[in-house]
Amino acid sequence: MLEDIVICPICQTAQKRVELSDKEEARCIACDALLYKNIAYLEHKVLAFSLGALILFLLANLFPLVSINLGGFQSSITLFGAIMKLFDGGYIFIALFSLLVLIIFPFFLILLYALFALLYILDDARSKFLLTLATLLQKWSMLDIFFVAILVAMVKIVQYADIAFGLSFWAMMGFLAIDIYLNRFLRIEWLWDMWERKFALS
Amino acid sequence: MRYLRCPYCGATNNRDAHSCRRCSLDIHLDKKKSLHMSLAFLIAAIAFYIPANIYPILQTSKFAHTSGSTIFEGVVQMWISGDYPIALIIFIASILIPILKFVILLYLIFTIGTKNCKGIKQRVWLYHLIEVTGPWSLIDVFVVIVLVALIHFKNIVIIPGVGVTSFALMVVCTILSSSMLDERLLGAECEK
Repeated sequence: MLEDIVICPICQTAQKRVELSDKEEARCIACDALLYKNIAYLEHKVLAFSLGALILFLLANLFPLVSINLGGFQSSITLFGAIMKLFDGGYIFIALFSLLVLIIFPFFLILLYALFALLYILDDARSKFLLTLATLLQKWSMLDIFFVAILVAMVKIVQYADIAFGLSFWAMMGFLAIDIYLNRFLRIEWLWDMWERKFALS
Repeated sequence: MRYLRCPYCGATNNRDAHSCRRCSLDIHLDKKKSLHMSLAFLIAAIAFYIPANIYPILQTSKFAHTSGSTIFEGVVQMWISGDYPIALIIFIASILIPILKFVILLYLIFTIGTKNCKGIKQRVWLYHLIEVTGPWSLIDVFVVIVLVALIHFKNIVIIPGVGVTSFALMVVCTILSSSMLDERLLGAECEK
């Protein structure tokens, strides 16, 4: 059966899927790349982490990310405010693109994970639709790059201005830690494997 | 090769499958379409690269005196003022990675087109390299967004330059180009 065969994402070698016991991981017979892991309570971890991330995302957007003081003049930014400023300046493409990859996609991706995990736990096979959407969105969530860009921008102005990081900065950092766990450490194909075991094979 | 890996959900499918048995997304291996789309986006990206580097991506107005700086000038300024690590990051992310991506994508498209079967492992590695590093070229665009939002005082104002739109479009086109290039093609015709 096709479900019993796994293809290496790196070298495309087809091989037999083996059952793992707790905390074991499977590697490719040809190139030794990681294929899959046995992660206990995966759906509960996804639900808990994504709910936490949603709260952090809200916090990251409510308060200023950074404030600066330049010769007595104060200024601060929020993520949304920075993007709105581009709309005002007529930079429509950059503004729309940033709105999508920095706010809408990161938020919906995590929301989709949370709803997927919830429906999965409630034995609802419609969770597939949410997972499909998350699969397509995954590539276009770029808040991590923006976070590094904040740091680079601060280095550029540190010699002229006093800089204070706001609450939202630390909330964004927390959000990104979870985002990286969900999107990089976990692979979406493992969620698909999990979904398949519960709804398609039983 | 009897099987086909779904690039979206990782499921194993039969070679002739058109949509994935698990996620229902279109997984048909269409060499011609993949190469043509990838090359088209690559050409668009190279075209955008030119205005992105000629025009300033950042304009600083100090006491009604406006000066713009292109990406390259920005790197040089940072290097001169002693911020070597940041100058290096921006140089790698904004100048080196885009050019590297153009060269690698051209090379991959060419070798798939000519059914070259040498060094598949290295080419797969190159493909993953551009997939991972690709979006990070946007860092310069986001730095501009942060500075523009933050620096708008009476005596000094930073506004985006014309080049920033071209630059962002260039990066988006390279991301699309590499995602259109089906990595399964790299070794598809080299079995037996």
